Amino acid sequence: MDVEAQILLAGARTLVDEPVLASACSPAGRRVDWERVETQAAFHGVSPLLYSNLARSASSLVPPLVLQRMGERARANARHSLFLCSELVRLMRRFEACEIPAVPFKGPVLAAYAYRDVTARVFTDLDVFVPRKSMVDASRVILSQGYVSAYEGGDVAIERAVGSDGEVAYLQASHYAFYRPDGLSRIDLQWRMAERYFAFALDRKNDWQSRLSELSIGGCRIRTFSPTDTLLVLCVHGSKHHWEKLKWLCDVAELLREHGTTMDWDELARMAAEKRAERMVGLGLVLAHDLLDAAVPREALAASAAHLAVPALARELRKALFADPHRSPTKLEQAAYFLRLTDRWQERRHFAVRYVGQWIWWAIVPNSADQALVPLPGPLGFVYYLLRPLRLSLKYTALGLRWLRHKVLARA
Amino acid sequence: MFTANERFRTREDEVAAKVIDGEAIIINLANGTYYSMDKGGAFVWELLQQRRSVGEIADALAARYDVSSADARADVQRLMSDLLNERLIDPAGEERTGESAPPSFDQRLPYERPSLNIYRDMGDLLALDPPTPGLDSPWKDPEQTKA
Repeated sequence: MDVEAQILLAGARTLVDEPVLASACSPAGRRVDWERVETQAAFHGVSPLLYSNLARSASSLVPPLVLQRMGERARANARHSLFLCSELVRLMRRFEACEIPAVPFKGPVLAAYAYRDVTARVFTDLDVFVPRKSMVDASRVILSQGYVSAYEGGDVAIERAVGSDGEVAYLQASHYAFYRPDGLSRIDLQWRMAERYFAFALDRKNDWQSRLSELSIGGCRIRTFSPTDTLLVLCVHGSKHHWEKLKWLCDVAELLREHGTTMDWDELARMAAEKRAERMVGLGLVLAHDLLDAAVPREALAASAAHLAVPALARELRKALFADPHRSPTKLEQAAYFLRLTDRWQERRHFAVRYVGQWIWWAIVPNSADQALVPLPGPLGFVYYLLRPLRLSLKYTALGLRWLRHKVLARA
Repeated sequence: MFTANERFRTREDEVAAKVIDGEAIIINLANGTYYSMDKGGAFVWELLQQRRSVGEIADALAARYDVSSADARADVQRLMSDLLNERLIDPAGEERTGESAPPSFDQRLPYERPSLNIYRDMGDLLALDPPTPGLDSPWKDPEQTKA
C-alpha cells in the first residue's frame, strides 16, 4: 500500500495513534505526495478528520500550504454541516408536528451519534427513513418546506402512489429525492434502504421501530436507528457502493468505537440473516477491522470470513480502494458484483429477475423526456410505448457512433 | 454592565458550534441564523464553553493578546451583550464550577477587537468558502440523469 494511503488510514480516525500517524507522514526513504493525500482525502470524504489530526499531531511534517488548504476545506465543511444540521432540525419538527414517524440516519445524526461531532464527517444530503405507508405524507411535508422533487413530475408521481382508499398503493422507486431550489440541501426519503433488486428490506417486519435510539441535536429530540440497525444499514449501503469511499468504513469503525461494547452481536447476526444481508455485513466488518482496526469481536470476524465470497471480495475491494485513478465499475461488473453479494440462490434469482426487469422497464415505460419531445393528447398516450424504444435506440446509436469516431480520430 | 464574577453558558440546547483554527462557526438551530467570530472572538467563545466568568475571560484575553486590561474588559462586556441579544448564551449565575486555572501564554498575539459576524442569509455565509472540487460531489442536476 502506498504511503499516501497509509496516511489516510492512520489519520481518518477520531482516536488516532500519534506515533503511527507521524511515522506514516515521514516514511523512511520515501517521499510523500501531499497533493495526492489532499485529493484522496477529499475524494474519500475524510478531510475534516485527517486535517484535525494532522494539525494537532503532525503539523511540522506537512507542507504549510497543504495544511492551509485542508484547513480551509475543513472550515467550509463545518459551515455546510452545521447548516444541514439546522435544516434537519427544522424538518424533524415539521414531521413531528404532522405525526409522521420519520427516522433520520447517516448525515449529521451519524456524525453526532458515532463521531460526537456533527462536523467530523463529510455529508451533502439528509437521509430520512419512513415506513412505506407514510411516504406520501412525508413527501408532502418536504415539498411544503420549499423543496422540489429531484425528478421532473416527481410530485405528481408521488400523489399517484396514493390509491382511492387513501393508502399508498404503488411505489416504483425505492426512494425519492428532493432538493432546495437554492441548491443548499438535498433530502433522500427512503422506505427500503436498497433498490428493489436486492432482497434486503429493512422494514420487512417493521420491528426496527421498537429498537430506536434517541439523541439530542439543538434541543430537538431525534430518534434514529439503534446501533445494531445503524451498523446493518451502513454495511448494506457501503457494500452496495463497492466500499469505494473510505468514509463509509470510518462510519463503521467509529460506530463500533462508540457503541461496540453495547452492540448485541448475536442480534446483528440474526438480523443480517433474516434480512438477507449476511455477506454485506461480513464485508463491512472485515474491511473496517483490517483497514481501520475497528473493534470487531473475533467470533464475528470468523463468522464473516466463513462466508466463502467475503475474503475474496474484501481483497478485491481493499485493492480498489486507493486505486489511482479511481475507476467506477461497468454495468456488467456491477451486476456480477451484486450477485456475489447475495447469500442464497433464492436471492440471486430475485436479483436477476428484478435487475433485468428494471432495464426492460426503463427501455419501455415512457417518461417526461418522451412527452416533452412529442406532445400527444391523452388518448394517444399508448404511442409513447412505441416511441420510447425508438428514441433510445437512436440516442444511444448516435452516442456509440460519436464514441467510435473519437476513438478512430485518436488513433489517427 | 456585567459583574466580573458573572458567568454565562452557551445555549447548547439551541446552538451548535465548532471552533476550527481560531474561527468559531456558530448556528442558532432555532432560527437558522449563522454567526462567526475569529481570533479574539473565537477565544472568548472557547472560554465561555468552559463557563469562565466575565472577569476571567477579560483577564485571559489581555494575557493572550496585546491589549490593555481595561480595553479587554470593555470589549468582553460588549461581546457578552451581543451574544445575549442573539440568544447564543444564557446567564449561568456566579457559582464557580471548579474548573482548572485560567490558561497562561508565553507570547501575546496582535489584537483585533472581537466582533460577532451575523449571517441571516445562508447563501452569504456559504459563499465565503464554497465547497471545493474533490469533495463529495453534490447530487447531479436531475436533467443530467434523465434518459
